[in-house]
Amino acid sequence: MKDFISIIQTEYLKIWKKKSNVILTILVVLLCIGFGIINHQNASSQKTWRANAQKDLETYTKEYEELLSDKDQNSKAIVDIVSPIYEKAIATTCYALEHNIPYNVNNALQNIYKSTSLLNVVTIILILIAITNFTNEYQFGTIKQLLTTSISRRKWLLSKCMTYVTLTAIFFLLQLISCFFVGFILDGIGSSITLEYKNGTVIEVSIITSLIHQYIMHFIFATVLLFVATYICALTKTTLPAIVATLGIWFGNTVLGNFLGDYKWYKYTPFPHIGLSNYMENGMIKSFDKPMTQSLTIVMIYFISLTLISFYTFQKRDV
Amino acid sequence: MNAIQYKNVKKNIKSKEIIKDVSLEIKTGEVFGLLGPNGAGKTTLMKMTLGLSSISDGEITIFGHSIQKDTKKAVSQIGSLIETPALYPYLTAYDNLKIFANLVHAPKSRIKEVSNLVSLDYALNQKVKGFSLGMKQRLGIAIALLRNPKILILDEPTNGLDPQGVLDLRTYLKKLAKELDIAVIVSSHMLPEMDLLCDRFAIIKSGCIRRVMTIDESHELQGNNEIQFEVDDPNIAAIALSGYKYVIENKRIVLSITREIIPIITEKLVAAKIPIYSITSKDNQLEHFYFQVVNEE
Repeated sequence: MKDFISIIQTEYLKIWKKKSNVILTILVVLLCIGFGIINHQNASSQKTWRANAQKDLETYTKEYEELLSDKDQNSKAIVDIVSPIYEKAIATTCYALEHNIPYNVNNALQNIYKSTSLLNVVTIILILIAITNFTNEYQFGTIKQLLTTSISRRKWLLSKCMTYVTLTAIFFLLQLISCFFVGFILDGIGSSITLEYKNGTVIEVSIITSLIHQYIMHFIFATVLLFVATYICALTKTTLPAIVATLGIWFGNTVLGNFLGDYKWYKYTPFPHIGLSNYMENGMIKSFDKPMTQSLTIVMIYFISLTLISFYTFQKRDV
Repeated sequence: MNAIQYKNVKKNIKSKEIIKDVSLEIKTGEVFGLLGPNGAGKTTLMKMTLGLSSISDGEITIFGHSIQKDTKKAVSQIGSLIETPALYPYLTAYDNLKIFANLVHAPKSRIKEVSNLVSLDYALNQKVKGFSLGMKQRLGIAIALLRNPKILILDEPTNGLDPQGVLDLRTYLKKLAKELDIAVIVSSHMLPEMDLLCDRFAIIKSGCIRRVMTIDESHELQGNNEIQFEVDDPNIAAIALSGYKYVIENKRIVLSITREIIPIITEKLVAAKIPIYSITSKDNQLEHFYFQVVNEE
């Protein structure tokens, strides 16, 4: 345990004394401020929200009716894609007006809720920090000195991973706090209820519950990706292949899915199963069903295999 | 006491034998030199000793602990500097020392001690990226010394050091070996320096240990050497040394003689009341011996 703490302490020293990492951290805070300002400008105030919601409802209804009345066969595909979006917007606006739930109003919690997509940007920043931190050991030659400190290679690799996990927690907390304060300063505390549209009905969702679900899932997702990034670094020793491979695993499905999605074997690759949409719905963790269990199993098989290969190679390899 | 013992150590990479059946003992309190041309296997052997490189066959033990089976205990006795100094350029010298002190659980006071030892205390708050090669080398040595090692492995430690730095390092390494009973293993291409620094050495070529002997033994094996005596008038000295073959060069009389003859010649000159200002060897004896061994098939 003493060794673990020593390694994590030294890793933090290396991370925070590097200017580029400090700049990336400041960037996260600036992004939170930017998102907060945009959310504030796009939102209605407590006084005007009813009038704005009414106006929005009329616009959505008119646009939707026009869309449905278009008999052009070419538009059918577009209608199929766009319809659910209009249905959701109309239903939630109606619900908000009927139940007097402030619609499109920003506040501290709403600001955190609306900024959760930033967690993806933070995850990319964390991947860059982790990969640079790891490959620098090879670039500077410090890996030789580190591996002769009588700390086992297994423990050292695991400690690196644990550093990145704790760093993820710090960055996520930083985003949470930054978004909260920006929202609080611009719009105050406000309601903790948001509306979600599930299976054709509008449901009231506690923002806090949804945030807990989203932050937990993003944290697990980021942790898995950071472990993968660390493992790839241990195998390749260089920055570029590690970045390409990690981001490739994350975003691979958006490209590969179009070309290879029809092949039966594609569903056994990790690409279609890594995205959070497999595990989340309407801002909440999905209840276990067959596809989710299948995705989890496939991701776990690949993750465990990569873990074993990386640890074995790292322990046996000449430095 | 044996600090390191190599027993029939071999290292193969693919089908190539990099280290061939090396058997060697290195004792505490001695400065041991590893000499050999580039690619001879010196660094590989040092890396194997540190557990950085695997061993294909044989065994390396550090104070009785096998590097393969009991790596943690074996490595915990060693301080090392392999190839170029491994440092974080964007950190200060102090932060670099702090990182490694933390990992070997050395107290903070040790940071000050080792930086004083390598005369780098004045630059502790400077970033390493602005350091000269000599300063980096000294910092690398300071890091190696952090854990108070019983064995010190230094690969080309004099690289980039100025003459004063080389002298300081030599004095310090000798002191470490003699006073603290530390085994110091050094590899270097600077043969005159190794001649002055080492107690014993091994010449390694193509992964094979060709010779292991003390510096004194190598001198004795040399046979005749060009020894020069600095005197006021070499022509008068030549009269005193009649019967010996000599050459006069400026204020020096140069004789090709064995080590044992040096005191006899000195005695003769003193008896003839000829003041001697210096006695030096024109050849570097270790260098001479090294090339003999390396060039033999």
